[in-house]
Amino acid sequence: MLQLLQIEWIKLRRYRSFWIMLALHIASILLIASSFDYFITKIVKNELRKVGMSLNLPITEFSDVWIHITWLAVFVRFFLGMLVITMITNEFTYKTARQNIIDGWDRKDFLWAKVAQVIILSGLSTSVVFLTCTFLGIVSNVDSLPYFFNNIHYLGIYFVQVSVYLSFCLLLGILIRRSGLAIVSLMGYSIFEIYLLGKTYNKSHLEWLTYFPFNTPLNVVQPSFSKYIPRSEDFVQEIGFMSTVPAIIYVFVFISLIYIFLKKKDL
Amino acid sequence: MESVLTINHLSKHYGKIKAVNDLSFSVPKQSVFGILGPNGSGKTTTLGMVLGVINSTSGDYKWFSETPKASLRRKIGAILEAPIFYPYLSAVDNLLIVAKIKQADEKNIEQVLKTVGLYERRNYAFSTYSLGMKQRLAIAAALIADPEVLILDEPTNGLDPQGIADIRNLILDIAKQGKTIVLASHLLDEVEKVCNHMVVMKTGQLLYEGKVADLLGNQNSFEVKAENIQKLEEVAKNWNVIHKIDKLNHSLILACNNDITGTNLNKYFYEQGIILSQIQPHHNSLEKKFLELLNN
Repeated sequence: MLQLLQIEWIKLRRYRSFWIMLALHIASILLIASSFDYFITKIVKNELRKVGMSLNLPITEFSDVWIHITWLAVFVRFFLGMLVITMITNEFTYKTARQNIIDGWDRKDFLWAKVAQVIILSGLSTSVVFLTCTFLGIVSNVDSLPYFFNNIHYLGIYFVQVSVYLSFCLLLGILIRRSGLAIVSLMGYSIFEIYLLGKTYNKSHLEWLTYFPFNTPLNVVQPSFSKYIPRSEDFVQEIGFMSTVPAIIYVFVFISLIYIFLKKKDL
Repeated sequence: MESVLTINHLSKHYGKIKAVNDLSFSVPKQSVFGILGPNGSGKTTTLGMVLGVINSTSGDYKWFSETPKASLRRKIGAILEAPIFYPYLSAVDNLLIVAKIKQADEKNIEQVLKTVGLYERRNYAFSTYSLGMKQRLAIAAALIADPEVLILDEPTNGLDPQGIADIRNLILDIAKQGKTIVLASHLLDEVEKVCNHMVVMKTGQLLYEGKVADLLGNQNSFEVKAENIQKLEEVAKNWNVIHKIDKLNHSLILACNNDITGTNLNKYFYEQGIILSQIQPHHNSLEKKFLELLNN
C-alpha cells in the first residue's frame, strides 16, 4: 500500500491543479471559520434583540464550535470533489491507467491507490477542520476548554461525509471518464439533493433524507440557534455517530461498483 | 522450443465485429517475433489482451508457461500504440513511476535515459517533447526493469529516417542480449529487417505463422544492370544456374541456384563479354508473399 501511495504522490506533487484546489478548499474552511461569528451575529441580531438577549452567543466556543464549523465545512467539500474527479479522469484522458496496468499493476492496485487517496484527502480535510475549530474555540473563550471533548464526534461525522462524497466523485470519474461532464453531473446531483432538502426544510420528517448519500446527516439537521434562547420549546436535535451508518454503507457500495466497472471495462 | 508467450484460441468480439477471432500462436524464447498485418487486423487488440488491459471474449494465454497475473507483466517491457506518459511530469518523474510499478532499481533511470539519448532533456516536461523523443522515452520505459520480453507496437511510427534507423539498431542490440522481442507492425520492411519469426494477421485471423526465412523460401535473387541489357538477358537465358528472369525497367531480376553468389555472377558475365554496372541481392519477395497472403 505504501508503494501505491508513493506512486500516486509522484503523480500529484508537480500537478498544479491539485495544489490549487487543495488550497481553495483549505482557504474556504478558514474563511468560513473566521467570518462565521460575524455573519451569524448580523443575521440573527434583530431576532435576538426582540427577546432581549446579548449578541455574544457562544457559537464558536467549545463544544458548539464542532457542530457549527463541520456543518458549514461540508459545503466546501466541492473543491475536493473537483480534485478527485480531475485526478481520476486524467488517468483516462492521458491513458495512463492503461499504461499502469501494462507496466505491472493489477486493476485492484489501481482501485486501492485511488480509494486510499480519497481516505487521505478526507482525513486531511478533517484535520484542517480540527485545527481550525481548536484555534477558534480557544480564541473565543479559553474557559470553554473543559468542554473540548463534548461533541468532538462531529469530526467523525464530517470525515464520513467527505469520504462518501469523494467516493461518489471517484465513481463518477470512472463511469464518465471526462472531467467536464463528470463535474457537471456532480453539480446536477448536488442540486437535486439540495432541492430535496429545501422541499422538506422545517418539516419534522427529515430522517428519510439522510438516506441520500450527500445529505447524511450533518447538513440535514441544521444547527439550531434557538437553544440559546431561554425557555425555548424548540426541539434541539443532536446527531450521534450512529447516524452515519447509511453513509458508510454508501462508501462500500460505491467502492464495490468502481471495482466491478474497473474489472469489466477495457482500459 | 521453449515459448515465452502462448496464445490459445483467443477471441475478442465487439458485438458482431470480430476484432480477433480464434487466434493461436506462440512466441519462441529469444526470438525477434513480428506480428505483421494491415491497419485494423487486430494486432493491437491481441497485444492489449495479453497485456491485461482488454478482456478477451474467449480463449486464454500464458506468459512464461504461467497463468497471467500482474507480477508477470513486470518482467515485460511494453509500448502499446502511442507513447503514454503524464504530460506535466518530466522524463525522470515519469520513469520513476514506471520503475516503482515494476519494482525495478531506480538507478536504472539514468542509464536507460542515456541509452535512448534523452539524458540531456531529462528534467523537461513530457509535453514539450517531439514525437521522436516521446517514442524514445517509451522505449526507455520499456527497458527500465531489464525485461525478459520487449513488446513494441509500431515503434517507428511517425519517426524520420534517422529515428527509424536508430530504433532498429536499438532493437537489434537488445535482441543480441538474448531477450525476446515482439514487434507489431504494418511495415513489411521493418519486420523483414529485424524479425526471424512472424505471424501474419488479417481481420483478426492468423494467415501465417513461422520463420521469416521459410515464408520467403530459399530464394537467391539478384538485381543486375548492364549497358546492353538485351545481350545480358540472352546470356542469362543460356546459363543453367539461372532458373527465372524477371524484367524491370532498366534491370533484370535473376533467380539463381542457392550456391551462386554475386562474385560468381560477376565473373561469369565478364567472361561472356558483359560488364555489369550494378549487382545487388534482391528482396521484394516478402512484399509479394504478404500481398498474396492477404488476397487469398
